[in-house]
Order: sequence, then C-alpha cells, then structure tokens
Amino acid sequence: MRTFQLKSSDNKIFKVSEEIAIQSAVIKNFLEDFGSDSDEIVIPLPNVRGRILEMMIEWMVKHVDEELTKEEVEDWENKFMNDLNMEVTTELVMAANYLEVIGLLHRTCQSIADHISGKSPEEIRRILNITSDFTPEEEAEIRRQNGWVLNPSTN
Amino acid sequence: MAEVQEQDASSSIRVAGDGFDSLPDSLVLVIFNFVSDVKALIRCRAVSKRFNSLVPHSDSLFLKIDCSISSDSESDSDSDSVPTSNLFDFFQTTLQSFFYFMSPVFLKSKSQKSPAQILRQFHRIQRLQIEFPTKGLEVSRAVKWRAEFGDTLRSCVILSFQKIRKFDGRAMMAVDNFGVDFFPGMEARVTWLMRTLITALARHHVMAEVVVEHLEMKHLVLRDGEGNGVVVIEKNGLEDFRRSRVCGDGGETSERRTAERRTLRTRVPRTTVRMKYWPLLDLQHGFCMEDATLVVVRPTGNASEDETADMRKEDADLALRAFEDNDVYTVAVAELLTKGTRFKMLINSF
Repeated sequence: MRTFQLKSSDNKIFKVSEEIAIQSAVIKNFLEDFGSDSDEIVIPLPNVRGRILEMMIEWMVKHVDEELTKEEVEDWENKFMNDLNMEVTTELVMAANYLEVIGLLHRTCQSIADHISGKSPEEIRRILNITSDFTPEEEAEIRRQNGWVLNPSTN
Repeated sequence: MAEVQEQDASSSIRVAGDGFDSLPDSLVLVIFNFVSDVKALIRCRAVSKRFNSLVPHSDSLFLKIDCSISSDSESDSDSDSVPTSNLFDFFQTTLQSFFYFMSPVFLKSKSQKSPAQILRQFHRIQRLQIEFPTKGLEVSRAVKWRAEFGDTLRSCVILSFQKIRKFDGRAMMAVDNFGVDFFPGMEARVTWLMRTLITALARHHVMAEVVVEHLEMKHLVLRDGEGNGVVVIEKNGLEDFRRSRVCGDGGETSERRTAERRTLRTRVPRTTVRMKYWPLLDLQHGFCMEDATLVVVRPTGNASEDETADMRKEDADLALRAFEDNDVYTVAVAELLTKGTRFKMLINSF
C-alpha cells in the first residue's frame, strides 16, 4: 500500500495511505497525474488548516475501515458531527468541497441543514452568526408576503 | 514537484475560517437543498438579503400540505359528474362516496394559499416532493401502492393484505383446503382498488398548475404522511402533462378538461386491471401474509385485449420495481407473481 504526505496551510504534515486519501477526487486525480512511483510525495493543501485536515482524515479512515459495519460507521459519524461547532462544520464544508470528498460534503451540509430546519429567522441568524442587513421596511415586506409561515399566530 | 506546489498555492482562493458568510453561493444552495422543506426555506428568506436572494434558487424541495393549504380549483358540487361505466353499477357510488374523502383539495379561505401559490417564489425546482395529509379513514387492511403518471395514469401497482404475522403449520393446512380457483371478497377488493385509483387521480389533478409553471422540474413525487401510496411523475411524464394542459384546446381534450375540473380529478382512459391473489403467502424468516393481493392497473390503449407474454412480463417488471425499497413487500410481490390465483377485468374510461 502506497503512502504519502498531505501538507496543511499551516505546514502540518499528515501521512496517509492511498486507500484512504483517494476518497478525495482531487487527490485521486493528483496521484494519477504525478505520483506513480514515489512514497516521498508531499501534496500541499493550502486551503485547509491542520486541525481541519486532521478531522477530514479521521473521517476518511473510518469510511474505509472494513471491520466496522455500516451502522457502526453511521453511529460514529453522528457523534463526530454532533461534537462540532458551527465554525468548524463550515470549515469542513469548504475543505470537503475543495478536495471533493463528496460523502463528507453531503454529511456536513446535512448537519447545517438540520440545525436551521424548523427555526425562526432570528434563531437561524444566531446559529449561523449572520447579521441581518435588511432595512426595517424590507424585513416587514418579507414578513408580510410570507406571513402564513413566519407569523406563528396565523400559522 | 516544486512547480506543482506553486501552482496549487496560486490557485488558492481563500483560506477558510471566517464563518458561514464565507461559503460560496453554490454551497449555501447545497445546504438549502438539504433543508428542502419549503416552510423552513421561506423562514430562511427573512434571515438576510443574501439568503433572501438565494432561497428561490433551491432546486430540491419538500412541501408538506396541511389543512391550512387549499387548491386554486373551484369546489365541486356536481352530482352527475361520473360518466357511465358499464362494468359494475356500484363503481359509480364507490367513486362518488370516496371522492370527497380522498381528494386532497380543501375548502378555500382567503388567508390560505395553494401549493401553486406557495411554490411560485421558487424558480429552479427540479425535484419536488409533496406530502398530503392522511385523513382519518378507517383502515381495515393494508393497501400499499405506487402509481406512475404522465398526462394521465400510466400504471398503478397495488399490494394489499389483511396482516403480516408469524407463520404456523396449521394455517398452511387450511390454505391447502381453500382451493385456488376461489376468489373471495371481490366487491371489497374493487372498492379499495377504486379508492386507491381515485386518490392517485385526485393528487395528480391538483398538481397540474404546479407542473405547468415549473418547466425545469424533472421529478415529482406525491405521497401521504403514512407512506401508504405514492404518485411518481418522471421527466417525460411531466412533459406530457404540461403539453396536455397547455395546448389542450382540441375537442376531445377540452371536454376532458371540463370534466376534470368538475370532478377535481384526472380522467383515465380504458384500463386493464390484473389481480393475483393468495390466501396465505409464505414470506421469508417464518412470517406469512394473510389475504395477499397484487393488482397491476394499466391503460389498455389500442392494444389487443388478449393476454400476451410481453404484457405479463411488463406487469411483472412494474410490480417488482414498485416496492423496491421494502424487502418484505418485494418478496410478497415475487411470490404472488409465481403462484397467485389470476383475475382480470376491464374498466371503461372514467
């Protein structure tokens, strides 16, 4: 099994096996283009910081572990996602998108979606740390148009 | 190697870490598609200007209809709305009495919105799933079904049974004495068959406006809260549906349209119904299904009414596909296809 190194934006080095890393379509293509004969390859990932890369690798390792059942992987993944704050989840979305780890991208997007589903606009702003840039008139207009959803009293 | 590093570094767009606002629009939309629920997305519109402008681009939506939503269609009060069916007289009463229970259309009031009105603020719908409320009908047996539509019914597969229970040897003896030519309870069977078809036709009918207005839509699923039945309209079915509603000014078609508006459901052409029945079906793992019935309904079209091997194979393929996400039902369907007592009938256009 070939192994090689991934280098994060803050210059942390992670050694991974090919089997694990090719869950990233970007790394897979990179290896097909360049890395046919050397264990010494270092793949630089300037968009991903070390802590995030470490978590991605942890996720990828679990997803090739043949000793785990599908349910065990799911249980692990749910716990993994629950332990993340929104800031880190968002970074994982970016990193999974950048490296094209589709499974992780979908799972992290799903996690954010779950956090905002069923919440009021105010709660969603708080959860995602977004500041409203509406003028009071604009916000009133949106609430008027969608009053049947936005105003609990008429719901 | 060094070259590669440089290339990669220069293509770097931004280092992540400045929160949700740093996500590009394409990823926010991926998240919105996972949210999927129309009401949750509408709440998102009030979060910020960016959210407000992105939400209408969500392409994968789920709309749960509850009693506060109505249809644009006018309510139906005609009593002579059911045309003659020369099969059974009681079809007519069946149709009329069940229609009011099964129709997904609600009485309209000014503050309520129809699905079409709600969905008008979304411009890119590709996949849409709508959940209708289940009304409190007394259910004495399980009726699971899947119907495919274009401008009208293309096929409907129904699996119905009394219950699933542990298998015991004595029941098996009773089955052997039953005799395979006996087809009991035909009237009850026809009743739940027609009830199912009317439900599917009514769901299809109320979607006409939505289908015509969303030209990019390529997958539409209409289900109920309890997961009993599902109407599926795929891409080319949606195209047929649109074509029939948009340019439907020809004689026959416009008569059909008028009749459909009056009955609040889609009309079906002459249809062939094939049933298979087995009193006690051996499922795997020591379970059995009581009073198992499989029904495949398809428009007869101009085809000859003679049973052909091709038609049987098409029916079998349809039936096996219908419940592919449920292993138990698929086993039951496969069993019924090999051994059931056969029954066939024709229903005139209704």
